[in-house]
Amino acid sequence: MLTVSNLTKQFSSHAGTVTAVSDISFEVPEGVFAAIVGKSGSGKSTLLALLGALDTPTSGKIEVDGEDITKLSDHKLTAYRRSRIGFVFQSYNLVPNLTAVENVMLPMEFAGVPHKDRLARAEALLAQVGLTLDKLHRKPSRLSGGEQQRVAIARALANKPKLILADEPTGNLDSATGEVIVDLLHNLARTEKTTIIAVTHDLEIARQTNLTFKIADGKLVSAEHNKRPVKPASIAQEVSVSTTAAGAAARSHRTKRL
Amino acid sequence: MSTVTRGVRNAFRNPIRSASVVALLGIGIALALALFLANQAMKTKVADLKKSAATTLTVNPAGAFGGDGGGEPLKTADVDKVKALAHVTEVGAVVTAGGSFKFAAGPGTGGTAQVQAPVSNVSLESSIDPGTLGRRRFQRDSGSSSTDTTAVPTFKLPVTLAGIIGTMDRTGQPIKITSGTSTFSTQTAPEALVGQGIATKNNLKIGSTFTAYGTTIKVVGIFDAGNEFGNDGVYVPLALAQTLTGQPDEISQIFVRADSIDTLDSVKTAVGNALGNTRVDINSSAQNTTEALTALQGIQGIALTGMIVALAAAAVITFLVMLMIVRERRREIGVLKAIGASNTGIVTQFVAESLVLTLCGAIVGISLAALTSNQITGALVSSNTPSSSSSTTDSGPGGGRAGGRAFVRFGGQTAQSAENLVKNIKTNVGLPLLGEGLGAAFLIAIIGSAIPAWLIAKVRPAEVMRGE
Repeated sequence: MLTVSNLTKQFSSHAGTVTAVSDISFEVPEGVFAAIVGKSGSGKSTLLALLGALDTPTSGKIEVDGEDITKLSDHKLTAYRRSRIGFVFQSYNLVPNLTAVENVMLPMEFAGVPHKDRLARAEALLAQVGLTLDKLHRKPSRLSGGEQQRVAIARALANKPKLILADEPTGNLDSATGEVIVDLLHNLARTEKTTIIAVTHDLEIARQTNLTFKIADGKLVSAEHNKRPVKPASIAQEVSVSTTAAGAAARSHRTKRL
Repeated sequence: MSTVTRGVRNAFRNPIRSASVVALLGIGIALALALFLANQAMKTKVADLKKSAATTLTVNPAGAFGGDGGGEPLKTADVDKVKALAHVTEVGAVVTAGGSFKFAAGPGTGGTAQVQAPVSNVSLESSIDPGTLGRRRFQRDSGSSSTDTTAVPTFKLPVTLAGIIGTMDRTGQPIKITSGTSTFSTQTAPEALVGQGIATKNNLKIGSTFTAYGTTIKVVGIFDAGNEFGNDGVYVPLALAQTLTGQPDEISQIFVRADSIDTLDSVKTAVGNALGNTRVDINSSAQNTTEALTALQGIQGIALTGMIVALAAAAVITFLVMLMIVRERRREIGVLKAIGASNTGIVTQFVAESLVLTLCGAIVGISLAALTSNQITGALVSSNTPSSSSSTTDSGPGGGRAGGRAFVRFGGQTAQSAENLVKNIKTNVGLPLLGEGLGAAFLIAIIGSAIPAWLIAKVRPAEVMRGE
């Protein structure tokens, strides 16, 4: 269970203090595929970075299975990112001089998994995301965008995280390949019981998720359950969504049944 | 793949840049090493010069110049006075056997007087052929006509007997014994040290005897003076020589060794004061040595400064290159942190990368330094050496009859010019030196890479990635 309470992130700039995330609260149960949508500059990527402990909030709490990650030391934050979070980036962010399989092995190396075991798991994960055997030892520059994103997803899954955070996972892909990637994430949420939170500006993709958070100007303006059948249809969880933002006041602390 | 392996692989991620960095580092390290080698060579040369004969003073009776000058002889008590002075490490004294041979006129052919061979007081034959010049001098000294060459008998150089005290020969140099002993049983014992030339010419061995001034003298040691004329000498105890040659209590020369070149001037002053500045002439080759030392120390300073500048340049190159690499890969660092890399792991990876580049640079640099260090040292020396081109020869006092004009031929102390003293300095590329060079390069690499990597790694991943 991911619980976000009154989360705020402010930046200082020449123009003064900028509030990228403003007093956002919500809950996401385990195994849910959720989407955060909003316009460019709305604060969705900042929110994702805060959830992934890539940045520290100005105030508020982020609890993962009851543990407040905003209070963790640097050392524990590293362990948190290593073992409980998987990141998928819009621009894939694969290490360019490592092969596909080496990129997937990297998080396992940080976790201290023996070489033989991490090689076997990396190959299995790449097979799971549909990368053909002949491409395992190719460097990212010799893979297509879709293939690179598959490798990035496999890398995110390497240490069996409970939460996958995807920042515009289909942003650099054509629509057909984007569909494939979304399907892949759906399947992962279903088969691995992994919670997936994807930031996207593509409403079509958002509709395919179980839960959609809409953000505007750093505030959570809505949290909607997608009524249409989605791939992980069996999921029926309660999601608590709250915000103190004026525009979303009516929805704050309202419990929705998915 | 480990963090270190990844760092090693990253070093060759961009071959063109890696080659450029290696070349820059190689030149910097080569220059630093070559200048370090030059500095070490100067240091060694300075130490050698300071330890050399330049610390020896030669004390002669005032006005004497070999066998041609006047003056009053020194006395045995003078030796004791000098020994008591501060900074004097060794004192040697010599009495030379003046008049060791004489000429006798005899009947010549065709009614002209014929010069006979000299009658020597020493029953030994010189190992040196006097040559044409020696024979001419013999003619002049014996009073025969220069045109009466057919009447002149075969001339042989006389063997000069010298009495010594201490372990220095008649030129102030340490006696190098090749067999037997260098010490006499007493100062009056009929014992002798003979040069290799004399020993060979007269078939002398340890225990052999010869006659000098009617006294049978036993050979107790054979020495090698390092030159033909020096090896033509015979040394007996000082007191014995004084007695045999009828020069009781007289000293021809005193040699004084100071403990260092730095105290030589003060010792010279003290000797003059102790023996009376009007009684003695004191000579040394210190002036040229001082000039040489000044030049060498100047070069040493230049080399040291150059080395520090070159090392600093190499350090700055490493730092800037690693700063550039780290900044260029800050997104990658952010990603690595996002997927669980620790700060230490990231720093280790960049340090490994930097070490590999530096190692390659060091290999290039050491190779270049080995090839160019002698040329660089030579260039430094030639551009910073005093321009005196002549080799000044201290052919002054001492030597007795044969030692006067021909002092240098007899191995007299030769003071080289400052230029000669500092030339032909060779660098020495030893393993410890290479180790130190590599150590310094690696230290630079570690600091140069760890600092920027650590600064970036400390930043929160989101900030690093946002900065792109």
